[in-house]
Amino acid sequence: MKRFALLLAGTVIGVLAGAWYGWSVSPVTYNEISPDQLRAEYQADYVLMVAETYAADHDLGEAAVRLSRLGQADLTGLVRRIADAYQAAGYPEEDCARLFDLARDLERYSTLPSAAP
Amino acid sequence: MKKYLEWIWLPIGLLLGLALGVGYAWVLQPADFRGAQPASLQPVYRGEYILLIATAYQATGDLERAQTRLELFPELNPAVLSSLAQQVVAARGSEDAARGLARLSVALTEQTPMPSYAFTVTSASPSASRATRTENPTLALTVPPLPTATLKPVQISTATAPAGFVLVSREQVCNQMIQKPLVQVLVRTPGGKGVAGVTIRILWEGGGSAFVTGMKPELSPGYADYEIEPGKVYQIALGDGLTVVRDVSVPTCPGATAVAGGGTNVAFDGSWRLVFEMR
Repeated sequence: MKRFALLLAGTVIGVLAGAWYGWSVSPVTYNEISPDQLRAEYQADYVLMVAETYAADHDLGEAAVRLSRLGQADLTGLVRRIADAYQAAGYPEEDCARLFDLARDLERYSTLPSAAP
Repeated sequence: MKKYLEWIWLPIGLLLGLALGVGYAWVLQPADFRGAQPASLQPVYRGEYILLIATAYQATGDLERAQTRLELFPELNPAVLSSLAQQVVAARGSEDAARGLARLSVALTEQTPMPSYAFTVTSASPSASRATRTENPTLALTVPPLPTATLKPVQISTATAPAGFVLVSREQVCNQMIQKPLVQVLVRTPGGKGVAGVTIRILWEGGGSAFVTGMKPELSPGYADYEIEPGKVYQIALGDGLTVVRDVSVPTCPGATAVAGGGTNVAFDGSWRLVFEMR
């Protein structure tokens, strides 16, 4: 009986210590991730970089390809959400304008009638 | 003795519990994942992210923001950025990215903001394809090809008017210390400051290539060179392709003109030094 109690006590202490170690001391790290697994603020900055580049080169196709790396089907909505968030957070107007411009152009592009018969 | 042996069950339980606890924390219920940093991206996406930082910098000229973004990649010092710019040029990737990387390299070296210049790009060969370079063990940069829609031929023969660059000097360099013939290009502002990130196209019969100023910031931010071969005639174009230097070939230097390296009387292959001013 005493053996069982000792084994149980050791196991309980060990589980707690192991969980603490695994969650706090040495938590799982993530490597080799794809852009859609980036932290939200980095995804937002990624979108801002795409908007900055688009403002200079006006290459909507390239911008759409870059945005598609974030794994979202609705690119316009993605850019607009980030633009709204940046505006609400008081980011520079120039940044917000670039984001809104990109969202607007993406929307225009996506609503163009198809050339296919 | 037997009484003490009973305590062996405590460490056994501890070890068992530790294994279970760690397994639970690492496998079954990992710590709450709220996303990772860009440095954790797969190499191919990492390369794209870095190129995007460079193109965004090229577009905005916002050095402070670019620096903040680059801090996410601790391995990106000016030398690595310069090397990446060369990789992009070699792989005929995005010219804006190459310029941005070169300008960033120089700007970070100098730690002073560089002016933003607008260039009209004349693109490289459409034969570019995805190329992965893994010379640097910590970086594998995949260079996306140039979009087909932006490709257009280089207009050399009709070039007459300067388009932002003016050739201010063309000198033959006779220096035996230079082991292989070079075209040395220096692009500077009227104030004499070197301009990094200017793409120079070099064409010869049956081929062409490009290089970018700023790859050797230790010489000058506006310096770039390209190795040329005897027997070939080159044309060199800057910026939008309208500023052209024609009929560049390896000059022959009389031995008596050698300024270094012992100076024999045997003729040797020289180099060219072209200085352009940005107007």
